[in-house]
Amino acid sequence: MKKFLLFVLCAIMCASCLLNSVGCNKQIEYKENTVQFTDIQLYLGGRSDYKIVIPENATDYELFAKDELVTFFEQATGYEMQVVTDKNLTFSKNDCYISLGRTSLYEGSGVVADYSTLGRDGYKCVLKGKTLIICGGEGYGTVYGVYEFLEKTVNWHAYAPDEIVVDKAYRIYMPNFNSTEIPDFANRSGGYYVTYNNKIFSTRSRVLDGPYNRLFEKNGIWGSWAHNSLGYLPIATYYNEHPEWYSEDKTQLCLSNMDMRAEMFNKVKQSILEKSDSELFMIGQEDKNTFCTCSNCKAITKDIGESGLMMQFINDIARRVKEWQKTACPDRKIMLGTFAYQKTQAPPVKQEDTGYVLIDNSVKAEDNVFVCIAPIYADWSVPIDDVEKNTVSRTMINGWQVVADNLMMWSYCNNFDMNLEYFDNINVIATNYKIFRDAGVMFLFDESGGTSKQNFMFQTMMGYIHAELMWDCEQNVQDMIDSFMTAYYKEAAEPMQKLFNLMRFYVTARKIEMGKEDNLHYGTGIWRGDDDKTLLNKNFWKKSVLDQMLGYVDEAIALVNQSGKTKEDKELLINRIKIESLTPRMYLLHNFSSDIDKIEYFNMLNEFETDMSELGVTAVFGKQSLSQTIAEWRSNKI
Amino acid sequence: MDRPLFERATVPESVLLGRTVNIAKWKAFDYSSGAEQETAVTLSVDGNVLSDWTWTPNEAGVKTLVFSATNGNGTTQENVQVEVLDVTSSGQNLYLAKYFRQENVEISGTSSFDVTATADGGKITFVNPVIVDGFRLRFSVPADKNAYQAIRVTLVDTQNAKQKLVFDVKKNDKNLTVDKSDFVMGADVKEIAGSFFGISTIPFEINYSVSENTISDYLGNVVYIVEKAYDGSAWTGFESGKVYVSMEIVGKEGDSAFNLLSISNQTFTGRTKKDLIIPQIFYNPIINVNFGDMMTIQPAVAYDILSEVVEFNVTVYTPSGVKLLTKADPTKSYEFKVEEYGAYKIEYFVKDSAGNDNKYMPDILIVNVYDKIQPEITLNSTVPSLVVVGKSFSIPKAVITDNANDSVTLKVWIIEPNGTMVEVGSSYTPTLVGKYQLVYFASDNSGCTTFLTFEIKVGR
Repeated sequence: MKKFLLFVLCAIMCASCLLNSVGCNKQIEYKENTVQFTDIQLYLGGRSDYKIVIPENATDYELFAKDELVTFFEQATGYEMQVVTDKNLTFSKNDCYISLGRTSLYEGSGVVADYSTLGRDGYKCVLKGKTLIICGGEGYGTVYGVYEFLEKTVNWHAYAPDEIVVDKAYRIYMPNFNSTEIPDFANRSGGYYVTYNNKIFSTRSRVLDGPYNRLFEKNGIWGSWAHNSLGYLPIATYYNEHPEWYSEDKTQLCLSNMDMRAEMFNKVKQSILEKSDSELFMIGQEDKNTFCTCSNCKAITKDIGESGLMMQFINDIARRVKEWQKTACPDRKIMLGTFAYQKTQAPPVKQEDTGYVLIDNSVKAEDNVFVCIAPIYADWSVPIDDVEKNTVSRTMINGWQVVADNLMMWSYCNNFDMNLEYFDNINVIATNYKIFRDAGVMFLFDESGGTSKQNFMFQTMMGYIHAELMWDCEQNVQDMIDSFMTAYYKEAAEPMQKLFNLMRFYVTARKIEMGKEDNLHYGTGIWRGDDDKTLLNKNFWKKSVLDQMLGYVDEAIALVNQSGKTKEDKELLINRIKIESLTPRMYLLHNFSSDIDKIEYFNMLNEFETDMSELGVTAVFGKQSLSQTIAEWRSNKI
Repeated sequence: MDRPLFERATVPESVLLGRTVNIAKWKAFDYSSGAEQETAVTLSVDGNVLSDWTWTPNEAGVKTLVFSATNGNGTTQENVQVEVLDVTSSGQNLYLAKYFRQENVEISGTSSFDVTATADGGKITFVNPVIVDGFRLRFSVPADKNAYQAIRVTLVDTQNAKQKLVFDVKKNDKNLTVDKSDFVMGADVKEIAGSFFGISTIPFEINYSVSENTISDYLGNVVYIVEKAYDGSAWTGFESGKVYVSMEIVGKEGDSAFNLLSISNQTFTGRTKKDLIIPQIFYNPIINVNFGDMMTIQPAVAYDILSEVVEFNVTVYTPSGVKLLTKADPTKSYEFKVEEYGAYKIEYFVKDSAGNDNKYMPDILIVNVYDKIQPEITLNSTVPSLVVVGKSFSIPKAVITDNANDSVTLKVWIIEPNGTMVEVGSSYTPTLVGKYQLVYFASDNSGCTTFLTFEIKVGR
């Protein structure tokens, strides 16, 4: 039943039944999280009394919010809602307006948005009389408020760049808006291909595109990003005159060198001035598991560890920046970042009866410093703080909270060596995000294939779920899976749901069985690694289960072909199905060549290669070309 | 008057001292009566007649095989010289050079195996027959010893001398900067990967495909599709399944050499002092066998490129570990009824006269008999659709039935609202209001699975 067809004041669906199972007569009350509507008619059969109001000097964000509202409302109704500016308008509770941003209507409505609390992305949606006030934070808040309006009125959802859905509507009542929404993480960045490379879709998913920018910023939130310490002080520029600024192997900086720090400060200042709208400036170690081993560094790290020295370094730069900022750019919010990663992953703390305490006061992060925790060796199939299987990550999460008030989390959700590997994290994403939220993480980046279309199984759905949970990690995961399946696979939703369930259930069950057989813990890592970190292991699979999965794929394709859809729509759906078939096909081709007739095997190989190419998935194994992989498989069979 | 005429078969150019060799039988025909009549051919060496055409040379050096056939008009005789090579291991470098008949060449090297021509037409012929299925010949040309036109490769069937391929891997002076050379067979000129000019590390490689009758190169590209034999007759393949291989340096103008890298699975280096390679086993895979079918194990062949195979047997295990065959002769065919699901294990053991065996790297053919019937799950009561938060409720017990007489794994999970899968027993207490899922998942040994999912709402 479509929500907008309901005329329900305080529409709470209550289901009641007798508690047969416990043998008492008490009634159970269960409330669906459904929309509460008023009796105010928003739209009826091609007409609406409502107009959109934007500030006379609307920001880019407010203009985009208006465009999104007009576009999708029209898609649902065929009606183009009128837009006016707030010039000469004053608030009156009987006027039918949808006010976007800081309009005169907002100012006169009595609605108070605490912008310091809302931040960049939070918003308030309040119905005052007949006027709806949507006012967001300093950036995208108003846009996101519009998305909530669309969700509640026309069941708008952004599942994928090519699957933004709305329900067709004849009559719509105004929901009883009175909410303030603030995301669980102030900054959210989905590393999936679909959001990483599409500014519009990432905005509709309420995340940054990749780690970087969104639609309108000149430089974006990041003034400098990731492994860039040698980007600030390039070896080519400085090494000849200052070899002592670098580690002996030239892979990292010598963090104890004070002259280097002085020059780093100069370079960071320069960067801050150049990136006038950026807020976060990472001075991150290079992507190597190395550290300077000069006598100075050794003397310091002996007592406080590599991460302790790193904190002293970043604090030094941060204090200089803070002092300089007082006169240079006092109004800007600037934060400097460093990595808890590789050699510096262990927090500079010690365990005492009361918990973790700083190993030395000098390592406590300045208030303009954030620490980016990147537990690259974690097992992503169990909670990040799992006592048995993620002991290192657990220490990182708990220990770094003592060191820094501002934390960024660099999480992982992809195997970088095996592009099609099923990444077994659905059972714990929400749990992990709650751990991050409760640790006070202010920036969550979940790294996946990024710019390359790696496409492990159900990547598009996982991108959707990740983005939703980044906004609110208390959401019901199964509801998201169900709604995605229905919207994205349409006629084929049921077999595709079964395909996903079978993969999820089989992998969960088999990991336990294999663990007992081999006395190993079968986890989920981000590299090919050992047998216990990958599902590529032949012993893990039974051919029948892969055949069963491909049976669901065949069933899904048959259902699409039987539907009355146009040729183009069928092709789109079949491609969505086929792309999910690549993972079980990869396991089959890689592991069971000796169980398949030669001609059949070669046909399967050819079809796989064709589908991969046509679907734009470029590789099976990391940097190995597709043709190389196919040649290897073919040669194994010969 | 006509004497008998011979129909020749292949005669090896060289044989090994002490190793019994079956000489391919020649035929002779007598036309003196006007009609064709086959007549006996006699083979003798050193005056001794080889009654069954098997010969075990007991002396190194050049020997003469005398083929003769007689009718009323007299005797036709043909002498063929064969070199008997002594490969007794001396435990010194260049041991592998002993396996070649050498004409106008010197073989040297330590890490490499360098064949240098001392005159035009310098040639090596490998003494043992090489199995043609999966045949691979790999070699390279040092850029400072490339003063010749081509390397001529000859492959001849060990029985039928007409089944012969001769082709040149030829220097292409126009391609000094690319890894390509000419491949010449008869009048046909094609391209083959590899260079005479040291362009890169890509070697020359000749791969022969029995099923496709093609020759492909190191990069896997098909260089040539064989349609005619050397004598111009239609190509029918190598019927004995084995060939003699020779390589000849053609058009010598100066320093001329090549490095032999491998023949099939035998790599060549100058420092090899004895045979270290385990014999190869060739067997046909068995696929798509169903429960109740008859499974046929086809004859298998064991072969060693240098030494004799002295032990070869097969043992067959059922999935439950019962031995169906124990150390049986793999060159015979066997048939069994498939009465178990799972992996039948066919284990071959092989050992050569040099003592190399596959004990630690066994050749095992696994034949999977797949159960395709999913287990069935029946619940002994109804799954509640609505329960109370904080109060325990019963998880209905599942009864599993399955066709296969093997163990079925049953997992019962509750999927909590946050996606966590919790394995449950007979009861569960939800701690949150919201939607949960109850999952029953059954999987048998073959991986046939069934699952049931139920939504359970948790209210107050």
